[in-house]
Amino acid sequence: MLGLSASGPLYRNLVKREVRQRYKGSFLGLGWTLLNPLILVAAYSVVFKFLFGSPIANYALFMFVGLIGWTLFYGGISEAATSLVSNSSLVTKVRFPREIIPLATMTANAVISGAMLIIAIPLCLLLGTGSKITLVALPAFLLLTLGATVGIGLVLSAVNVYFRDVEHILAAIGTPLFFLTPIFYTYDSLPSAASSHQVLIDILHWGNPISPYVITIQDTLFFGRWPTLADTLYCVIAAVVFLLIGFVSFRRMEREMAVEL
Amino acid sequence: MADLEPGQLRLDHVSRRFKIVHERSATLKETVIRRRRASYTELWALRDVSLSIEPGESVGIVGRNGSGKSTLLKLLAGIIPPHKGTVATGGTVAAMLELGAGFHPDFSGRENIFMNAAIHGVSEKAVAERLDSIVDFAELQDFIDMPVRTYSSGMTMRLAFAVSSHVNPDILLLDEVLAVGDEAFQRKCMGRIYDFKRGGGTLVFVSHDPGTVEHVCDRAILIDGGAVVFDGDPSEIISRYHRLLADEASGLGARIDGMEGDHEAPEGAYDPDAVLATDTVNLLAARLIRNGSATGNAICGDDISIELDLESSAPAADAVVGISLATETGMALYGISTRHSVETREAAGQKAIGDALAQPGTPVTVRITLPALPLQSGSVDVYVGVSSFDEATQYMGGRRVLSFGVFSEEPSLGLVAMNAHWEVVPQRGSAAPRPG
Repeated sequence: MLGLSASGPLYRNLVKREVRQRYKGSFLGLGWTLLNPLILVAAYSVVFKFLFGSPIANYALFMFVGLIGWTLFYGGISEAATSLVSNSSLVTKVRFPREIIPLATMTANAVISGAMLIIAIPLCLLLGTGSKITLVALPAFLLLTLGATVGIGLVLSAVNVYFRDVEHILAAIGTPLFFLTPIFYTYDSLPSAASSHQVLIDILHWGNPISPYVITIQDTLFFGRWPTLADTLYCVIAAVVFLLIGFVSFRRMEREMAVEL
Repeated sequence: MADLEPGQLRLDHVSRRFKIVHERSATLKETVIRRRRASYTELWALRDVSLSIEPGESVGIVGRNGSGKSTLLKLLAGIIPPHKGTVATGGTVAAMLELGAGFHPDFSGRENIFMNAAIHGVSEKAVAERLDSIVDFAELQDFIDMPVRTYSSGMTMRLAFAVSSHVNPDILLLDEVLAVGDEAFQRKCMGRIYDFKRGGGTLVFVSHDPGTVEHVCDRAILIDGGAVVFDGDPSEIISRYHRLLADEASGLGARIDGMEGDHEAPEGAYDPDAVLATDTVNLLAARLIRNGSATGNAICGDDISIELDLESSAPAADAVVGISLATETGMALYGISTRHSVETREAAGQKAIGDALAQPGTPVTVRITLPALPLQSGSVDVYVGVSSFDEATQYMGGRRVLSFGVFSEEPSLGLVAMNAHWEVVPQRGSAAPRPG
């Protein structure tokens, strides 16, 4: 931790560079950050709202809120996974705490998710049917999501230095994982046939670490209701455990990184 | 261990090994398929090195390619850890292992200055104060807001050195970075390094050019085979270094080992993918001969020859021997094979070598004579390979077999000694004054 504070300038510059680099040279620039999820939301609304008749009100906004949690979490860990490899010229030539690189990448990703949040919050206040007071808990759940993301992201970034398979695995499970996370549906808006598969739903709920984080963000931002105690506890404990594992295992894997890259 | 004062460096019985992985598996498929077959050899790049450098010292580390000098610098920079022993540094350390590490081509020179300075831990405020000085030093006033990808390589280098040299660390580690750029800029960099020394900074400078070390440093360390073989006055370093190369050349020449990994044969020497490699022919020894005896050095204008003791393990009657000379940086100076040489390409000359190598188990000495060596001062690497006449089978892969130093009495520029001849001639058509 000692070296981390001295690396403040590097961290800030890396975050700046990551954010600007992502859309550098494109005409719409940061506009893509919003356009991307909006296109996705439009297509899913057509299929699940109009063709399948999902009972969720303000379906497009609901899905957009879920996408914020997904982008923050999955976007963060998949960007982090490749971060050390793509910055290998830094790792092999300069000494600094290497966690700066995945941390900066995930921060940049969080900034981009933040842009989505700026659109979503006023819309939720305007169109939301639930209580507005639950919004005060949103920052805490966003921080917990970020904590779990950072923990997992650190592990994946370090492992990917030694086994480049990680980035391929992440790319392969992206879409399946998206379907298994309650982003364009909720567990209680499923067709009646699903009620006979309660065990399966429990597995999907608690076995996929992204689900509870997405659910708590939907609860506090979109539905205006307090998250369940189970979800809250899961989010707190998992974030702490992931963070601990992340920093400790990163330190262990850090030593030989310059040799492997 | 007690805290070190700024500028101090301590290495205590440091050893470092590397795994040379023969099959680099970096994709999912390769990893899955080859996981169990990944074989590697271990190589100790540094063995039990103890070193103590005091604040304000400027130390030059000299060694051949693969001697372990760059590994030593990476250990000092903290980029890789030792396997045994401890490395300790006092104060701030800035390592210039590669100019422009971390430069991003799409960002402007100005943005890259901030980024590059941040890599060395310099705050935005401190950079802003030094910005004008950095831009002036790099001579990029008109281009500083243009993307670095539009810069020439010289401009990029100037910018990189300008940033790195404005970091003001307690310890500065340099790896061959001065070998780049034009002469005017090199001189400017030198000036910057002298300023750093005058300011009391500790300098550790790695080079394979003992001449530069003699100029810049007040202490020189010679590394070979991962160990310190000399530590002392820089004025002795040139002779020590050349004695090392000479020993290597005369005592069993061919030191063909894994440590030469970062030293690739010059272009065109051989293409390892296109040919069938066999080990039919072995090199027993290689010698540089001058005035009838083995030596490690030559003087410009000398008649020299290179003797190769070869032995075949199976008949190789169509063997072609190729030799090439290159500078230490790998630039080819000269290359020829018995297939192309005017003297031997006629069937008779080529056949003599083939006949000799057609007898398995009988050592043969092949001598290549190079009359009146037309080279300037410097170090020359000799590469040798043996293949079949159609070059489809490689009897012995191209490899560096020896190095030797060349000294020239005439302090002229360039690689080639052209023996310039000067005179004053009367102007054509005019009545030039004549003596008498």
